[in-house]
Amino acid sequence: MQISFTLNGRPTTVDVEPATLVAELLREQLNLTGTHIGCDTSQCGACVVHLDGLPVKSCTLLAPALDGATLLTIEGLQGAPGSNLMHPMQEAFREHHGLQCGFCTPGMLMTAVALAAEKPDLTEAEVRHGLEGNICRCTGYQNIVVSVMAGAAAMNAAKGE
Amino acid sequence: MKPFAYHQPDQIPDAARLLTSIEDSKLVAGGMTLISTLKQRLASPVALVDLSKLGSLKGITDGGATITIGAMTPHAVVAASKLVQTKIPGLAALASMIGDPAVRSRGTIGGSVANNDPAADYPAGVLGLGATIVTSMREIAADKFFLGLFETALGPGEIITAIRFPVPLKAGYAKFKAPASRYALVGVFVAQVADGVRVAVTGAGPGVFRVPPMEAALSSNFDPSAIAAIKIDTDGLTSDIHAEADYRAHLVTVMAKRAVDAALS
Amino acid sequence: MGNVIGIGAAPKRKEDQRFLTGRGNYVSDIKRPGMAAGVFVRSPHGHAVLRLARYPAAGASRTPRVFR
Repeated sequence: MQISFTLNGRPTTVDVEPATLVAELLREQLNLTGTHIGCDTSQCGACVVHLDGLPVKSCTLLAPALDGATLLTIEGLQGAPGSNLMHPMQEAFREHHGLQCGFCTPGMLMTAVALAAEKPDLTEAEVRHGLEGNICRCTGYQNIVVSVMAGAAAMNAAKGE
Repeated sequence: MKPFAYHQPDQIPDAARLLTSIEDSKLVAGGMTLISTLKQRLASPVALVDLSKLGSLKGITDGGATITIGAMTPHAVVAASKLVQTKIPGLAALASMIGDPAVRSRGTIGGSVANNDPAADYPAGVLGLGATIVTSMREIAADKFFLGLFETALGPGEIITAIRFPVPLKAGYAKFKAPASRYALVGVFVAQVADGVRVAVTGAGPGVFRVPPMEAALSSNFDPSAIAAIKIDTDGLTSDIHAEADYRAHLVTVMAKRAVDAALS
Repeated sequence: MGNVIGIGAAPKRKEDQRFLTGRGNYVSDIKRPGMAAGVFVRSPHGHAVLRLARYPAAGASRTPRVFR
């Protein structure tokens, strides 16, 4: 079947089997390998993308769900539109060492950006609850939580300008 | 995943017709359980009937003494709803504890109730509040809806369109979750309604169930201390790699006390 | 800690930029012409006698795009 959607700001039309997962479509057909498949059972969160602005696990999402929707992947995450700057959340992860091997990072970032966009003044407890669906085997989460708090504050500050 | 045909009807009768006319077809709502089931090849339907284009199944409406939640309303919307937070805060809290944010973006109340997973959260809220399941054909009381392990009163071609919840005097939910899946190892929903108290337990057995001794005790004294000494029989409770039946039985009392605490706070 | 040099310092990592922007290029991200994916079937028994080994698994060689 043919589906049309907006992918990272660009109109996109693809021909897919209905039994295609969005994670597979992105990685194999569209060559966007920033979205990772970790557990493939919707527990680890390495595959999180934004569907119409909401965080979803692309390994548990069928391609037909994209039709008419807007999809944002890690490749589309950026600072000011059109700039080469990284998103404030990406900057915060670099600044506060919120990553080591980097495998979970795209999913962490997508979840974190959605979390911060939904609620401007996040507490540490809310960040930890919000990251429940994202597993990191390197960091022990401490620096990820610090990064998300800092990134959320930076997103807030940028909005106020 | 085996290949399947994909239908996206925009009218409920069309969806029901597809479901009955195509043998071995399945409904898909948010897909949070079904897609995993397909990936593991535990099911291989020839066709999926996607309910997402049925706009009339989305949204939350205030009926005064009731709140009606459309079957395709995602958990995140219920959790964030000011209406639900104000009138049945225990239900908004339950929705906010399901899975994780990404699961709550996609998973729906209708999908969860129709699937009747023995460890899902919503069945406890639906049974605990004595809600009514509204389908494409009729209305079913929660007490007659949940029939056991993944089994419900839904007939062939019958589609849940909404769940209607009576607004309780007080209600609360507490769960002890399995850490990886966030499913309820044991979850207890307690509701104080006009004619008494209802206590519904999920996760502990093969399906959601009520606890009459706790309901009686809480009806005369709505306080955690009233049920502290009530123990649940381990007969029929689940024993698996996550917990033995006696541990689950113990958790029922602990979670019920916490649910009453939550209802009172 | 910002002005610590050497042991105890927290220098910025050069590799972070690509990890943060989805350009990590992990092994499963690599695509080469003619590339095939391998599957291991391991014995479910720790110590057992192998009486009959079918190679490849029955039917696999007849499935399109599966080869031995």
